[in-house]
Amino acid sequence: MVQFFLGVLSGVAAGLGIGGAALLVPSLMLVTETEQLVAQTAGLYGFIPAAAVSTWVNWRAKRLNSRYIPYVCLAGAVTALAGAQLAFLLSGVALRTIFGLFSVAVGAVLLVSGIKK
Amino acid sequence: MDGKKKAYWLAVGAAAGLINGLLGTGGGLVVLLGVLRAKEPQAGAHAAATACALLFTLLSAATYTGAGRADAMLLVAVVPGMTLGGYLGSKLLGRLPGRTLKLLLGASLAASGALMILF
Repeated sequence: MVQFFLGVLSGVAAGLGIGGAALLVPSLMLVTETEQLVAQTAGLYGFIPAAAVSTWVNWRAKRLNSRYIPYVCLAGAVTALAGAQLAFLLSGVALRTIFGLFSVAVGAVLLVSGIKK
Repeated sequence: MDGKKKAYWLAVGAAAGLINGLLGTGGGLVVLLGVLRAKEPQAGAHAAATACALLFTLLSAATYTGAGRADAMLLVAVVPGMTLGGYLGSKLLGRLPGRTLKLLLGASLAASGALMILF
């Protein structure tokens, strides 16, 4: 039940435009002591339904015709597989630190942008 | 599209895919920043970022699952929760002032990131 509510809270953040997994992963780790890679898998699956619906709607509305999309997808498909393999190779502390630094950096950008506005 | 632009988009994709595979999140954000930096029309930026992130996520999720990192019971709890939350969040989107939203989410992300580094 706790995991469901953490999912709802993270989903609300995702609906507001911030990757929900960025909040889901630390909250699962800190509240329910879930292992990071297992939490990341949950975040990945949690992203799929809403993103699939959104992409289907955008496809139908012809909003996916930018010429750069195939290049981004092609390169990203290769490195997404490589990145996942890298996650398995890194130590828990290293992966946790990289995730934390990424969250702090994105959070700081949002805070600065919000303060400036 | 000239060679320089193609290289730029390949680099944006490579960075986004790597982050997404490594951390399980963030790919869409990197694509979005890349699109905005290139001064492409903003209208399609979110659509492109979501579509690319969906592809990276499907590939990453398959890899994590293949490596035995998927917990079925956790997925049964989290996936419906995130889907419901996503719907509620999109309904809230127009009601909260942009500044409040940025400050709230920025503080949450920075705090959770700091906790991950420290504990």
